[in-house]
Amino acid sequence: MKHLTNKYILLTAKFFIGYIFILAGIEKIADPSGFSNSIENYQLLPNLFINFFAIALPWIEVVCGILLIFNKYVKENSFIFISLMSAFTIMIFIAVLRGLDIDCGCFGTNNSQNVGIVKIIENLGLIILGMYVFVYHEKINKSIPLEKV
Amino acid sequence: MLNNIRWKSLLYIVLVSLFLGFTYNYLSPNGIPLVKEVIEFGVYDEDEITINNTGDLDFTNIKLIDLENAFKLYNKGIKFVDVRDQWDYSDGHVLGSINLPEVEFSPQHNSLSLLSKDESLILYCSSDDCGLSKKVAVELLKLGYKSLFVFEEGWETWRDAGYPVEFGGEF
Repeated sequence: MKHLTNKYILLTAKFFIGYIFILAGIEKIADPSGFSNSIENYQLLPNLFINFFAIALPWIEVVCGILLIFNKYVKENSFIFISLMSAFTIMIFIAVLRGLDIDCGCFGTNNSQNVGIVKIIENLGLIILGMYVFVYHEKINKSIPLEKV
Repeated sequence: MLNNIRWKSLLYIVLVSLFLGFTYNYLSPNGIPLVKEVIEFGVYDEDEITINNTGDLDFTNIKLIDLENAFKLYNKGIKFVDVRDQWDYSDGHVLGSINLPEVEFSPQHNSLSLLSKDESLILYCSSDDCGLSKKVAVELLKLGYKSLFVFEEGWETWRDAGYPVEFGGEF
């Protein structure tokens, strides 16, 4: 447990989840209509909102990823990361339950990966990493003044 | 723990992202409309096979067909195209169908060389919960394929009805 408060491990975790979000965002920005089709395939959102999310989500991912890498607003961005990843995972879980055989759209349409248990486990891993950043960022920051004493 | 979040900053992060997203979408040549266009398909209602010779991009030229009509057309020798991935395809598919996976669809895909633009094609995927066959039908119509049918109920209904199937296939 001691390692969890190591600031370099925390920094690596921030960098990693930031990198994942930037990568996922850029791939989607490159092919907005493909991402819009991916969202449509989940059959969860009404038609009216599909393109809104297809336009907005990738940029939220990229901005959030950049801020995480630059160690800015970490609490807020890791909260966004956890929220979005949880929403994606629930969507994938519903798709798997309904037996949909669709591309998950996670990293755009170029790196196609179908929805399935593997994807859910990957996402759960990332959510845990996001939670670690969310919780320990504060703990470590608080402990810095004490270390200096 | 949540009360340490600066909600105002979080809102700004989201708003800045939205601003960037919509501005980029407006300026980008790949930009998409704010509301997704709804594609209406036609419905196959006769035994007659109509071919769209006008070359129009009218999606009602893609006809939806049910199991009964799909089987009738199958018996007339119309080609079936399976748009599921190669693993699902090799686990079982309509006898004689060609695999054109939606996930790797491109106008240069090898399987397209097996299909003529002037012949009738019936596209299917796993079940009516799956929109992949419609997606591929739209892409094929754009490429100039003139007589397209979508068998919505798909592989599962075909298999359960006991119609001709085969297993295996190229990887």
